[in-house]
Amino acid sequence: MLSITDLTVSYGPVEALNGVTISVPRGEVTAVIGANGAGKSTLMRTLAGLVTPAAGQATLDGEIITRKRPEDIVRMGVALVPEGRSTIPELTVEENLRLGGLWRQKSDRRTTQAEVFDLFPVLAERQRMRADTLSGGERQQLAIGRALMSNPKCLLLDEPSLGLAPLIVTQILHLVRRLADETRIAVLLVEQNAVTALRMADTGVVLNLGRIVQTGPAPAIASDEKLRHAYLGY
Amino acid sequence: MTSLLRFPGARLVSHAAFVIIIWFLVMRLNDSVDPLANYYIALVAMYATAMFGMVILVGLSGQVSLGNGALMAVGGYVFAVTSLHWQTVPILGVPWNGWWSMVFAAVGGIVVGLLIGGIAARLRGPYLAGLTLGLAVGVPAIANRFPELLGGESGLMLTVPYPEGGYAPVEEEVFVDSSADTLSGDASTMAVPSADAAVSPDDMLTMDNFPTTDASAAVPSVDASVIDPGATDMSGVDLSGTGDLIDASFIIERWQAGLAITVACIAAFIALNLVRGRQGRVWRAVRDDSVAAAVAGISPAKAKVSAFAVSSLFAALAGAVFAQILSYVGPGAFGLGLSLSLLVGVVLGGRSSLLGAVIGGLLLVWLPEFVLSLSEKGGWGDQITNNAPNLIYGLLVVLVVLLAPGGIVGSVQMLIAKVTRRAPKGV
Ligand SMILES: Nc1ncnc2c1ncn2[C@@H]1O[C@H](COP(=O)(O)OP(=O)(O)O)[C@@H](O)[C@H]1O
Ligand SMILES: [Mg+2]
Repeated sequence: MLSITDLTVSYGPVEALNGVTISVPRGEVTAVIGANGAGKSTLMRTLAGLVTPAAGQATLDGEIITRKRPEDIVRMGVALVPEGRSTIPELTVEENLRLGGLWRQKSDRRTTQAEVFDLFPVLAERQRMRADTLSGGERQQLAIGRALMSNPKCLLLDEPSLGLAPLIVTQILHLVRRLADETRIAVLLVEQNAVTALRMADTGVVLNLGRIVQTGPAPAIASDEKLRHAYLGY
Repeated sequence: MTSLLRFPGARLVSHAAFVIIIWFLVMRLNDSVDPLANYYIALVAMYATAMFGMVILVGLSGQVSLGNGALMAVGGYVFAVTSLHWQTVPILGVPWNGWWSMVFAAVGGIVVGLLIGGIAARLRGPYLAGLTLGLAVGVPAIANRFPELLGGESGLMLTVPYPEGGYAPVEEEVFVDSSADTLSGDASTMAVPSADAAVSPDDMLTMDNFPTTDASAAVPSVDASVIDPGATDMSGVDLSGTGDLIDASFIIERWQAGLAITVACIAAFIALNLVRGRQGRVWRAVRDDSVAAAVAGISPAKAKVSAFAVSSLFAALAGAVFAQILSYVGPGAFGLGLSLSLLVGVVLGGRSSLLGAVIGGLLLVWLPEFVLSLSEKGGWGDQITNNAPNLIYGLLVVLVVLLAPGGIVGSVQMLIAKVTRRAPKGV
């Protein structure tokens, strides 16, 4: 379980997160939704070690992960899929995947790679092609696959729907759901696209200007008209 | 090539085979040309060695360096100072020879590379360019601070390395008419040259003063029939043990080129394995997306430092070879111009390709000669002739960066990819 307690982050004078507390249990998908600039990416980047928090902490199964280096946090079992499908264009699909678990034993890596290919068959088909020949949806799958190569206990997904067609978004979010159900990974999903995210999440968290305004079961959040109007803009 | 073989270590073996074949072919070529061509081959191999490092540093890890000429100076000076002053290997106590100087030059290169890389990893873009530019200007100037040890502005003359037993000693100054009996064949000690060995760099860096043995003194105009190729390769040296006599047809340029080729091939083997293996993927990942690399468990800082260390190792090896080609080290030989040439060569050849480094090396050697021949035909003044290559470099770099960022190799790969409709794959 990933536990985030009272996390506060500022960029100089700009306070991007203020006292954020969230629990993400194993096998569940927790969706953090909020408008552009709410602090969603900041939350993810802090958990992955790319940003140092001013206060608060996060633990994974009791172990503190905040204020550590990104490469150490991955080894502790937290894998981030950054915003914007960051795959390495010059490398092939398989080489991109391999990057995700370079420090692991070769045999373990092979097993995980086979699992990733099971989950994303399109990556198996395209494994010898360069990443920059893939479509947006395929590249998002590759980015998720690379994160899975570290065999994480907790997966952080920063706006996987960004710039993808609605049908593709639904497909990818269903894969994420399956992943949580089958592998018991704790998934923290951040989305501006609230409708689809809440449809497949267990828990919803509404973030506004760096503060949590509501936490609850995803269906309850999705059906709360006041919340929708005030913070999600639909 | 690698897809044919699938046993563990197959890539290592195929890279070794590839490099050995290239080495053999180039050595054959080296043995069949005249000494002036030997000299050019040595320069191309020397540039290629340094630029393998540039491909890794600039092309793969994405760190611009305007200072690799200074890293070459480190190798050159370590080679010079150790070969001039040390008779035995410290700690081991075994007799010194030129190969040990190469080893120490390599170690010096790695150490300096780690130091510089540690600083460079914290800098980006213009600041990194500034730091490396400072190196290019500052490092050669260190020689002036320690004139006794490093020879100051006028540099240090080296004894011409001698092939027997790797590097045998030369008792007398090399520039004197070296009829065979002035040269001792005793391979167990390294001679310290006479104190007046230093000469002015201005005298040194011209082709006219390029150090030659008597056998090849008439280099540029030599009639090919005078030299019998069969008798002038390295095996032409008398190794029978009875004689300390040198075959009169021994050609120092040929031997130096052989050394440069061998070092370039060793560097190529190391570079191939790094570039095509796991480390190459790490460097590219950090270059293209350091955030993605970090969250994938790669340390961007370590990747950047390791790229610097490897490129510095290659630069130092090239510097040690350069010192031997010139039989001299001096601040002028490793100036800003050399650093910039390396960057130009690698950008023109193709900055993420090892083949591009070789092509870049050819260009760096061929272009000034080409300009010289034009100048002779056109009757240009010295001013124009000396500056024209730099002007052409500048124009070419601008054109390449604007029109063909992948350089020569990148453009050819794109063309092939277009024709065969397959994704281009880097070397
Ligand atoms: N590197 C940064 N430096 C300064 N301010 C930043 C930086 N990154 C984000 N911010 C600010 O922090 C706030 C939250 O941004 P972000 O976490 O990217 O939001 P979201 O992902 O929800 O759109 C915004 O006001 C943004 O302008
Ligand atoms: Mg964001």
